[in-house]
Amino acid sequence: MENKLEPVIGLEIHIQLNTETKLFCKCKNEYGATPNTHICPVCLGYPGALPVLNEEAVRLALKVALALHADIHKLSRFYRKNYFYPDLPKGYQITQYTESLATGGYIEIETSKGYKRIRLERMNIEEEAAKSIHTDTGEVLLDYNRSGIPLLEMVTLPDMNSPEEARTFLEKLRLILRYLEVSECDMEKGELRVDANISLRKPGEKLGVKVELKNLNSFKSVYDGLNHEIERQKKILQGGGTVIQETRLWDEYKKETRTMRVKEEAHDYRYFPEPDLPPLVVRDTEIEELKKTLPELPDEKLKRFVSQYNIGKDQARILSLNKNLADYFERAAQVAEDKRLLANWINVEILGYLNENNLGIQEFRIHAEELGEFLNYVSRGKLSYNMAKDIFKKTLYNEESLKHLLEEALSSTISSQELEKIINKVLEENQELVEKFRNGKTGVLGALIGKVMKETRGRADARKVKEILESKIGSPKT
Amino acid sequence: MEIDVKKIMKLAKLKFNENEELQIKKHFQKMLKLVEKLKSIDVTGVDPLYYPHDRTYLRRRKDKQGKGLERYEVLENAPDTFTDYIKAPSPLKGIKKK
Repeated sequence: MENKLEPVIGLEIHIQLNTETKLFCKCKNEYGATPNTHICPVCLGYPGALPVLNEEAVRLALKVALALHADIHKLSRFYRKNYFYPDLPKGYQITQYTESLATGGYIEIETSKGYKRIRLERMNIEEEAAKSIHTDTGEVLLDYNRSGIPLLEMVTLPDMNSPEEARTFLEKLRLILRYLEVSECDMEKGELRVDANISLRKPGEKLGVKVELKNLNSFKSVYDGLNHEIERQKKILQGGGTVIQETRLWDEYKKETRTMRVKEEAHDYRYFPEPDLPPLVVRDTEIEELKKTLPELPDEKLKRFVSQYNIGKDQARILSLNKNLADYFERAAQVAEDKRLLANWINVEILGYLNENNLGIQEFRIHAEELGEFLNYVSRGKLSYNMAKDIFKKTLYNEESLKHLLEEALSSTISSQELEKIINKVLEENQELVEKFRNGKTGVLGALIGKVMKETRGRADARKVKEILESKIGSPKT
Repeated sequence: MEIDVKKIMKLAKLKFNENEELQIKKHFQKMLKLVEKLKSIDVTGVDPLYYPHDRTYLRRRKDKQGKGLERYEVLENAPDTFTDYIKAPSPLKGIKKK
């Protein structure tokens, strides 16, 4: 296909850093407080007020830079980005510009074509603007609680070639930021915000004209918005037209993108070094200290789980997608003998229950150690998987004690002699099924297992029943 | 260097009449002349001076909450308010919110 067009996508991301106070003043950094209650002369831009940098914001930003393999600059500088807008009453935003906190770095994502590195261009620390609410009457209502909250701005290189890759990148980034405890990245609260640059080109040719896409308020918006924009640009280009450089808004209700502003006279922010703030100097010792505090990151954890516990990669991945869940697994694994059974149990039984009830693992009633012990009854063959499942469900939904139900079940478990007797009886009564099986209709085995299970009133382990049945009937004639 | 006063007015969100514009242009030209003069000095080997002080690095403060302003104090000073908010003319002229 000669006409095939390839999307080229770069992202600009803003992350609110999870500090106690704002970037340059001692006001509380809190979402959802009564409007205009966390404000002071600094974040209101009163004349003469001076900014003082929050050490925690620097620490969190450096953690991200380290985790994403970026080059941290020993000296970076703050600049004033000048523009008049009511959400920034000083008339400028304090941000970083040519001398960034960090440059380079990457996040590795898994795509349908294998692993791919999405490179980062730069990371800057900057201050957040106030929250504006636009009214129907053409006015704007301002809440300065948000003004001055620390942001980490991150710009990627245009290394993504599909909306899927953009979404995967963001999911990975969010996971890492949560592991680092830098931000919860709740997009609904604006803790993570994304703008996308998107253009199309024939593979190998130079980059096409790009469109900046805004108002992407969820991962789904990023994905849907990019898909729609790709289709729109494709139509234009295939019809012989040209894409104009502009900013477009994604409308998730109408499922379309529309012009926000066509490239007006280029922005003229008249950047200049912030005279109130000397350069930000980061020392080697500081970086070394920080390195020691970095947690194990999701990729490392996944690899370790596979090698240390010998569990499947898919299971390890699900566990590593949530740090608390991974911790739960590891605590239970101290006790549980069969780690694969444990991983599977957590992924199927526990995650199923948590998702259904919209709970987090922290709110889960059964302790990791208790689960480990419980599952040992299964791995030692004292309790069938299905019985264990039933007991587990009863415990969760009827709030009965796991220990009590377990004891009850163990006392009523069928003995192997009794099971043997039942199986013999079933085989005798179903000679024609046995014949069918021997003649190659192996599907009838299920029916036989069912009959045995019915006779035992579910007290037997279906896997064990299957094993015994097979050994008794022998293999089908081929 | 030609001075585009109209652009400066736009960036600063200020309005002037023709007379004032001319005055401002003259002012700017004077300033630029001074800058041109400064530019003629040979500064090879001299580091740029970014800040009017000797601090070589930025001090950082502890991430601890301190007292700010009371809401009523701030709202009292605002030209216009609506409930807990400060109200301002919309900067998005011509864009009506649906």
